[in-house]
Amino acid sequence: MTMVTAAEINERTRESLLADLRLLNQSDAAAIQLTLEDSSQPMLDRRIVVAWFAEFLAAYQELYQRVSAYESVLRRRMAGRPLSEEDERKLDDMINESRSILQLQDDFDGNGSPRYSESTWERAIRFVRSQWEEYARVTDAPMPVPRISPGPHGSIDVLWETKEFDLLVNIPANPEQEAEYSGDSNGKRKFDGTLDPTLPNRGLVDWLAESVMGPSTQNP
Amino acid sequence: MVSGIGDGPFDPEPIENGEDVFYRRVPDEYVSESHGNKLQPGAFGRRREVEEGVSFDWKKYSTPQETLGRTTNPEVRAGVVKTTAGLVWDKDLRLWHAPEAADPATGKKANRAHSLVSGPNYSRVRKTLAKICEWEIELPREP
Repeated sequence: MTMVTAAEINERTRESLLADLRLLNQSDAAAIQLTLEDSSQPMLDRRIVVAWFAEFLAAYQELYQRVSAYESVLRRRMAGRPLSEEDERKLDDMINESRSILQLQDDFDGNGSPRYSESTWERAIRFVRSQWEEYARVTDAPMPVPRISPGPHGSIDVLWETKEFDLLVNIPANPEQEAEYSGDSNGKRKFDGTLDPTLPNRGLVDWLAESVMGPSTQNP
Repeated sequence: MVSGIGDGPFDPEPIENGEDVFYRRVPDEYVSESHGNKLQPGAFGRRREVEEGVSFDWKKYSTPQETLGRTTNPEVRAGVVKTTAGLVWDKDLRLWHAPEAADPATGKKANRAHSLVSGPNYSRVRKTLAKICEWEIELPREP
């Protein structure tokens, strides 16, 4: 089997197109009557098929790169969630309420704790929103709304708590640090660890969903 | 009863009785007053990031009022919560006596009652303590 390089394919394609143009120049283009046979003729030319395939592959690779770059945007669009306005309002209310954390001053607790920075609070909110969107995408349902409260050393706590389960995620003041989490479900299943708070966490969302609704309630 | 008088240093003592009580001061910002003064995990922060555990005062050497008074800002509205060694152990957390001597250089006062609670994960420790502690001195009403 003869191997054909991409450069050769491009050159052959260019030659083929130039030949077609020469033909068109020689005759009145308007007078050409294309038949079904004429239309399918290029498919019989292996050079054209290979050239088309190469073009398709290059276009697909470019599209793939673009899709990867905008994955988070696409995820939101794909979610297309039928969440009600009330669901969204509950989340927004909780977020607005949590802004009061930013009013606390240094040593607000009489233990020497520092105030909370806007950037830490914003990271906490982004974390909650990205889990909210992932939860909706995975379960077709609204995520339980967590409570956002002051944590130690300028960090912020995000706490989900029901009779069935609880999950604490601590967003650190240092953006370079990972968030620490600790969860319990029905007093039986425990899990502790760290996570990247800038990303939706499928494991966390799955665990939340199972704790709320039981297993087998998630989209693939 | 004020039994922790003196500047130390004090020797750490073993905690052997599950019924021994431990106190901690809790400021209002770590309490959800709209949920029946429910404790938030933030109430159990370490004083310094390098500290090994969450501070409590052993009843053997402190009264709840003394614990309430151990603050850098007495103006802050705060109460005192308590738990027992048995409850801490039941949750697989560690508890040990870590008395503090006075430090004239920094003006730090001695605290013979000082004890620490730690566990495998700081968030787990805080979350657990929020569940096993109850009020000894209720948070005063907002003025």
